[in-house]
Amino acid sequence: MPSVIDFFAQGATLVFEPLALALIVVGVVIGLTMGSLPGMTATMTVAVLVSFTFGMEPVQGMMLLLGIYGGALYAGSIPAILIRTPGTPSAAATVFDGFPLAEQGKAGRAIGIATVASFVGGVISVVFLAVLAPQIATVALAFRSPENFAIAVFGLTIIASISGDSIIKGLISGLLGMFLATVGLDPNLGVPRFSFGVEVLTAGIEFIAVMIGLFGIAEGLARYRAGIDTDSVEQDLSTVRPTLGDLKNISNVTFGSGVVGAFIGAIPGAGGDIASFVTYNEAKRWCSNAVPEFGEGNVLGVAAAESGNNASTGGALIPTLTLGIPGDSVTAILIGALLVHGIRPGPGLFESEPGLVYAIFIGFFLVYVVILILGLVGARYWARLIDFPSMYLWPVIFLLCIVGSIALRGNLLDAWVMLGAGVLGYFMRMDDYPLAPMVLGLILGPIAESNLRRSLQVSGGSLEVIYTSPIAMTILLFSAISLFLPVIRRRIRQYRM
Amino acid sequence: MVSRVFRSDAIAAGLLVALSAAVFVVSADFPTGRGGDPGAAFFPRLIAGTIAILAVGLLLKDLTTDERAAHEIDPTVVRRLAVVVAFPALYIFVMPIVGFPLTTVVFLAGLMWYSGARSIPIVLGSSIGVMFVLYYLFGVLFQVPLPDGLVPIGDVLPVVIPVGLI
Amino acid sequence: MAKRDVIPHNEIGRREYITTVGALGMGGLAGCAGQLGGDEEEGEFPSQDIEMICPWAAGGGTDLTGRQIADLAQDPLGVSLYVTNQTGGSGSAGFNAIANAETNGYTVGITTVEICTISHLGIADVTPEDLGAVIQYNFDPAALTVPEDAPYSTLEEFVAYAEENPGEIRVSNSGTGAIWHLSAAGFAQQAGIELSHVGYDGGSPATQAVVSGEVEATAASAPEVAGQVQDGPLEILAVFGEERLDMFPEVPTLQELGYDFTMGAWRGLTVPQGTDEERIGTLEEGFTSVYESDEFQSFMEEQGFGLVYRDAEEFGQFMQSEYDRFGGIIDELGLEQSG
Repeated sequence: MPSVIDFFAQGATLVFEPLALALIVVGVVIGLTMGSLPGMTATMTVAVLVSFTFGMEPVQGMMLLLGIYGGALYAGSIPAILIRTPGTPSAAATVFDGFPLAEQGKAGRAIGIATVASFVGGVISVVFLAVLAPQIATVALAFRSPENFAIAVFGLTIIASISGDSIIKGLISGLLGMFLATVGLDPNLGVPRFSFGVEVLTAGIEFIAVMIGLFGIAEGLARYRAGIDTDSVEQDLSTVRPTLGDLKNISNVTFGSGVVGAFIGAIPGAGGDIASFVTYNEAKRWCSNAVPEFGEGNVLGVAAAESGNNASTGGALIPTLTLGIPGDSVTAILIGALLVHGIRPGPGLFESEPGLVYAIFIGFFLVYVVILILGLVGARYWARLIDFPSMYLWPVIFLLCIVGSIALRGNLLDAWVMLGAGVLGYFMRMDDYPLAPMVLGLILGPIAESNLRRSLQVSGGSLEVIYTSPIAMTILLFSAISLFLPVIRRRIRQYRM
Repeated sequence: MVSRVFRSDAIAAGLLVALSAAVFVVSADFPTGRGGDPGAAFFPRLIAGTIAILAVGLLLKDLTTDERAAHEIDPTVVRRLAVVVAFPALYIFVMPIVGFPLTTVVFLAGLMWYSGARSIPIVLGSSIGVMFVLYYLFGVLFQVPLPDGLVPIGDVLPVVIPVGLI
Repeated sequence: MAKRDVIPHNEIGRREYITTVGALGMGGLAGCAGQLGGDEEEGEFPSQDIEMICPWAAGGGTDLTGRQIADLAQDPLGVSLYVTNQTGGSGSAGFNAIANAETNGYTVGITTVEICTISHLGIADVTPEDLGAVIQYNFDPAALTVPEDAPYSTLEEFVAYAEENPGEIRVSNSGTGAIWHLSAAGFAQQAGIELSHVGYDGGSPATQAVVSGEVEATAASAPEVAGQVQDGPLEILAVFGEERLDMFPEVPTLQELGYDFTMGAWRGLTVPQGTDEERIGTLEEGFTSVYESDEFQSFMEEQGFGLVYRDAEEFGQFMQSEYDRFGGIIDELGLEQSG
């Protein structure tokens, strides 16, 4: 009976050969490039390039795809920090503290922190994947509709903590996002809602297009309002590599977020976007006395979001490899890539292909090592990007927003939606409505609705199905705490003052 | 001339209440659910109802506070923003007809010029360069439908030759 | 809007396209593309790149098979083919794009069973009549799958249980109105039993629901549940195809069990209605030789996609009969809604 050590050795011989190693680097570079463009998601990049791997050995193909996966998810943070526009939905939470840091001239530091946190989160998830995959898969499988509903509610309560000064305006913004997401086909009945007989509206509103507009165009308009020819902030590039103090400071948050992110990633249907919002919110709650406050450029916020979303990658691989049920849309494509070689992920995979499984563990670890190196080397150069004169930079960003939204699904309508969302976002900003809750509502609203209604359909209309679930009730309890804690804390602070 | 608009919260509250009323009207004929499913109208109405309550809260706050939200409207800024929004709007409208290469270069060069860039070589060079990069990245590699239009760029550009690694 | 009249397919330009499966990286830039398109209405067909519109997202089964065909068809057709994904609206965005494309043969649509269901469901107006058939290349029957420890281990017992307990068996599917929902509902009609159908957001959560015990059964394609059937806690009671599956040779078909019912997802290639017959013939010939190639056959088998072929004429008739059949089923289900 071969031991785990034998399997690791077997996997290592497959990974440590020149081509596989080169493919890891190539994959990460492709992922970095694509992930940093708004509109190009990790899913799309992997999907389009998967056919390149058909002619390769299975391990080689997986190295390339895992490199793209990790690289793209990490790179989403770069435009989130630099231009307030997340490159992928998973990086939406990185905007909260990443962009304020860039405004203070600390973009290099923010990217450095994001890189280290992505590395730590990714590695934690790989360790979980290698050590605890079967156990975690069993727990994640216990997530039925009531539990998924609870997770979505938990995510939505984050609105309270990211709303800044006006909770009312934050809630309105979040609810508007949830409302926009109801346009299109009803999730449980399959009938069009609010489409007014317009066929294209039955397809629903593409939330990534809204997100690009809300952040990218609205930010651009705000710049133009102030006068585009004003000088950009000079970036301090002396602290690109995180200092020992920074690392010590973020270590707890980064580890905690990594664990939470890996677990959320393991739930089928919950990916990096939800993971990063949840870990950001948790970090904010844990470190309530942090200075500067979360949302005003605290590196802890960047670390939590980035550790969380990258940890979801290894998490998503857990049900994919152990059960054959993909944890997110990228891992669904990875299954297809393995099937081409006659390898079917599922409970038997660890016995039939131990070499491949352990090669994936080792390879995914190396992917994050490459990300760490390239990220830290590159941070200095990326941070310089915003030193680029605004009058050249913003036209290019506007163009990227347009082409990126057309690229989403080959639909010009999405470009109009993106532009409309940008103008709406500008007015909301001018009137102090926070925009992040809207994105949160767009992402989580449909998950909350369909799972609640499905729970009720399955239970015959009784809410018992929710309150008899210990997992769901625990999560809902946490939701209540995270909803009311910021309010209570503010009251206490006001009282003291 | 700088004019001032007062009470933007009151205006917003009015718009939001109108929106929720519209949601209730439109969702009236949404189908009911099967089994215990509360139906298609349930969730939108829950959202719209909550929005209406919050909007009333916003209005009350506006009526009771002394510091009303006020916005300055500066015609030069309005004009500037209108032009900046018109650029992408025209781009999305014209691009399918005129084609990606030409529209992109004109858009970039035009907006850069409007933004205050005055060095013609840099403006044109960067516009054309960015266009080529995006054309390869999106149009060729990711096969996003970006029409060539008036400039048959696809025939002129060098072909990317794939090199097998295996 | 993704209609072709909005983004007209450019007739002069010729989009270069990266070819070759298994090739990676862009080694170098070389010469000119040459071969200006010119007026393609005259002379040889095809003489320029062919666009294949995929109505479903990149990375899914339809996209994957479509890209495989695009790669392999270069040889017999002598031109490059490239896939564009125009998705949304349960496929309607892509179907509309195909239907509204120019009828010059240079736009081919990867078409799925939904073309026969979405107009009945009130999602879109596009129907098989807007398209011209080229070939069908795939059929995946529905597989009724239950936990191994369920109180029924054959289809007979399942039906008997459902008769005694009407509406108690909950069947998950990949989405309300989706083909797997219609398959389960159509079978229930045929067998005269009452099942509760629960729609999920995709095939993976639907499979998870039956593994976790939230529902009692699931209707899906065999590859989607294969991982949980081969080594896991699920078993397939019956497949809804005409023949048994190579993947699960021990599982009977519905027809063997006495139900004259087949249903499942299929994929084929179409062109806009009104395309020149001769050009359709050229495409049919080219794609048929792709279908018959060893490379395509082994690709489909590895991925678990069922191989079923119909030529242009048979496929056209098949789409029409499917369209009528789904109309009946959706009518009886009461799923039809006005937009």
